[in-house]
Amino acid sequence: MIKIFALFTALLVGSVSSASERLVSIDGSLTEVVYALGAQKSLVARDDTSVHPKAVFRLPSVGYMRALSTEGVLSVKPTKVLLTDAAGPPNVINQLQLSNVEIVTIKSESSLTGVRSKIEQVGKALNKQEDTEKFLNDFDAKAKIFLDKRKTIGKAVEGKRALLFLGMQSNQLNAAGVRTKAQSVLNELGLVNAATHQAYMPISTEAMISLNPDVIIIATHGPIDKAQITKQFSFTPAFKNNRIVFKDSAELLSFGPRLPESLTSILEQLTASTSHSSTLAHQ
Amino acid sequence: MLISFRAWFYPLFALLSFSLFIASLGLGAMSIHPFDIFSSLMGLFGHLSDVKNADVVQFLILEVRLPRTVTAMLVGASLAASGVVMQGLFRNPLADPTLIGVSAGASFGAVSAIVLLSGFGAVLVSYLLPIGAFTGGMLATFLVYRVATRFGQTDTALLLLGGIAIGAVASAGIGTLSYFANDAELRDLTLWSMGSVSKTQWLNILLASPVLIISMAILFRYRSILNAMSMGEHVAYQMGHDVKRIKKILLILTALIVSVSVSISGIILFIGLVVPHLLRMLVGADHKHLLPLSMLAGAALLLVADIISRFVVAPAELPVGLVMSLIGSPFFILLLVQQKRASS
Repeated sequence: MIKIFALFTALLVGSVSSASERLVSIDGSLTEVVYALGAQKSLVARDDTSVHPKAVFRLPSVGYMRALSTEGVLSVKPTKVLLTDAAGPPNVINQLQLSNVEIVTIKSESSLTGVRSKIEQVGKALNKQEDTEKFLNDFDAKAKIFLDKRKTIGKAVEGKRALLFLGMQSNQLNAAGVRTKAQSVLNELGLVNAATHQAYMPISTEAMISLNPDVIIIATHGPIDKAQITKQFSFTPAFKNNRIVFKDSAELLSFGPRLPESLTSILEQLTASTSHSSTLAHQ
Repeated sequence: MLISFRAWFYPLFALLSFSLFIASLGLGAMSIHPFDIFSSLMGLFGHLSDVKNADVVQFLILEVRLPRTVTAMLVGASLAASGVVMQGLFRNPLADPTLIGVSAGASFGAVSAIVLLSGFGAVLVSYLLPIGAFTGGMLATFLVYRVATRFGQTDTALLLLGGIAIGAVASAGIGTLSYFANDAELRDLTLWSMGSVSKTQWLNILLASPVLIISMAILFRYRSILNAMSMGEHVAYQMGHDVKRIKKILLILTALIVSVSVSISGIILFIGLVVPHLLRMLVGADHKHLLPLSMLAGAALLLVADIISRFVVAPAELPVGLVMSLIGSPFFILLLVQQKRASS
């Protein structure tokens, strides 16, 4: 009897509090937008790719975005789930759509305009029109700073051959090929990918040197020995001209709201005219 | 005396499986009141319950937990049965369905689907993957069988070697494909190889269950012949069994069972190897009891692993194959050590 009473109270409370949104964000960049729009209060769970800002780690994770479980997502009792078409597996997405939870699929394009549209879509899904407009103004201003920089200091590296490496664990060079998000980053920066393979692929130091990169960008996760890694690139034009940049991979490759600043800072580092020996001396 | 001791295992294991079946419906990341579970099951027969949040609960029970529970039981029972058959056929307690290359072939088929067909989109791949795994598994077994068959005689030793060789070819193929795979495909591949019963839909079950159930039923009819076979092929031949034909049928059934299981649940190792072994310790080597009891135990064991997989990292989920190996292997080692102690 008490149990039944408890059940009904729970249901009653449940229906009262259902007025407030319970949000699950499945994609690092979407989670960042949720925070940027000040909607983090309604966030009840994240996925494994949501690692920024740090506060997001307090939320339970429903797992990796391509390996979701229907019950896992439903167990946090969401009213709305934000995801991109990278989320899966397909039948779990299918099942979630069949449940009475609102599933919002955000169209995600890897470009500055794509990020802008992402912010718009999330804002719309969260009914945060004012915050969205405010944030978009901010975003547009930052994007303009970057685009202006590209026209000025960016001219120095425009059209240069670049390589973008991912991870760099145990000195393995994982070069980004065409049709990757890294390729889109290079496009935004006005750089040409020196690698022609598809996806991310390990390449040898020898092959890397033969690709003759003028610019090297290293997307990192976690702490790494920058001097040690930089040494590997000794025989490249990029090293000679001190055009080697390290950037956090979640910041750079998730195509979230931090993209304009991230791109600007890469351009600034690439065109700063310190000689290489002095940088190494600092370290 | 001994017979009555064994007879107790049937109701015991049936009861265990049934309780786990109920537990599997009742337990998960979302806590659901037993009453709601019952009313959801009633909903299966057209009686919609009037509980307020019934749609979520009913959805979870009927579309998520029930299919995964049925899958776990079917796959668990099938893999255990095929393990018993392989160990009996090869007269080796270390034999398991992977020996004849079927798992490796199925993996290769699945990986091909993931990597080569990813251009067709995730939804289509989710349908093509089971087909790829099934085809790969059957093809590998067929090749192994052809390698091992000379003048109509299938040589067991050659069968083993052929299995290893085809397995090596398949792993080389998997390696090559993974080298060219992109990050998303690699991730899918890794997850698939850890096995999961949570991705199956009713359609998969509808297609797979007749094959699995009929195959198991045929294997069941061979349970006394397996006794003869495990005494040696010559003995079985002397006893008047058509060894050639029996071998062929058992191999085909095993390949069928493993290919279908792998295609709906990915790679779940361990059950085929360990369940028959455990059961042999409990009930002895008589296949008349070993086979049916292994089926029940396999179903129960995979259910346990699946239930655990839901809680360890909730609201996320661990792949059940991983859980299986993580809890199963140390347990198995413990049993082996105890057995050694008891015999010395």
